[in-house]
Amino acid sequence: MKKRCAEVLPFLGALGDGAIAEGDRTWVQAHLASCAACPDRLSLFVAQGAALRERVQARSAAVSFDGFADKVLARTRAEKPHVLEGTGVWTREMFGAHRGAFAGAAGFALAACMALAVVFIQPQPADDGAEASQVEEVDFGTHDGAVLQLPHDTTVIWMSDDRGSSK
Amino acid sequence: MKLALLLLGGLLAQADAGGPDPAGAAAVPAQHVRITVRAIAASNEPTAPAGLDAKLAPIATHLESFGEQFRFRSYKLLLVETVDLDWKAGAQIELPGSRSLQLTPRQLEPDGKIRVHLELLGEHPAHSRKLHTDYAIQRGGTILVGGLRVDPDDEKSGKLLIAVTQEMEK
Repeated sequence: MKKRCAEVLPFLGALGDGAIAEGDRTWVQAHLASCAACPDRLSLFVAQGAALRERVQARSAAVSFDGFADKVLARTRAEKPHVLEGTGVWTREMFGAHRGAFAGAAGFALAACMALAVVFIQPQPADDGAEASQVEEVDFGTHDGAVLQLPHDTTVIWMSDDRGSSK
Repeated sequence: MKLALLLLGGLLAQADAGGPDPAGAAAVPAQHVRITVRAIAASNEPTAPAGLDAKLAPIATHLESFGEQFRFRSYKLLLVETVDLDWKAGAQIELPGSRSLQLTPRQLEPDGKIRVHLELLGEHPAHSRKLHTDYAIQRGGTILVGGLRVDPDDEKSGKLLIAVTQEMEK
């Protein structure tokens, strides 16, 4: 095979199918006119194409599409998707179709939860004496004394010994 | 939707108003105030049984807090008396050493605490006032008053510790 024949060979199939670019058609046909072997090669390509088309048409004519849709539906019913897969599809479809409504409902639910939390969650008393007994000023009379606030809400009023003052 | 918004609005309004009344019975105060007074001998005498008298279990946590500061070796219950008092009606409880304690519940505070007037009186017959004060105490709370000798004439008798407990109404 000559060098020019090797260059023309990839274009022979397209030429036989009538699908070659216009820019290539001229120089490919010019070579075919001057070459002894390449027209035979082109004839072979054309014959092979015709044989393939005939074969495909024969097979497609033999295929029956009667009840095709029913068969597809029956098969989808027989092969039910997994629950999670179905839920995922349902969620995507629903959320996509009602995005605004879902966003509004979620905002409303969040606000309702916060309101309920404010109502029902009472602040816990801190263990810092805030809930302890409150003693106003103590009048110890002639005695000395003090008021102590101890852990566990323990309030102590302590006064000095009364010996001497009571005698 | 409107119903839900009305419900939310109502809840928010309630929360804004401060939620449920913490006193619970603030609008309708209990008719009686139940107070338990325990007189305790707190002593460091080696002859006294060490530790807490088993009868003092109801106020053990308070006495343990007290003991961490005052370091007495022994706590013995001398007397216990529970009184049901009407509002602004006082009661006098006799204590060891011829002394007495006067308690008068004065009012129910908005936060649910009970304001009580307390007076500790000295020995008979003078019955001079040793101390007096007003305090506010929550239900179940205990206040400790002490420092006097159990027996004014006996240094080894220990210190008189008076535990005044505001009982929880059943």
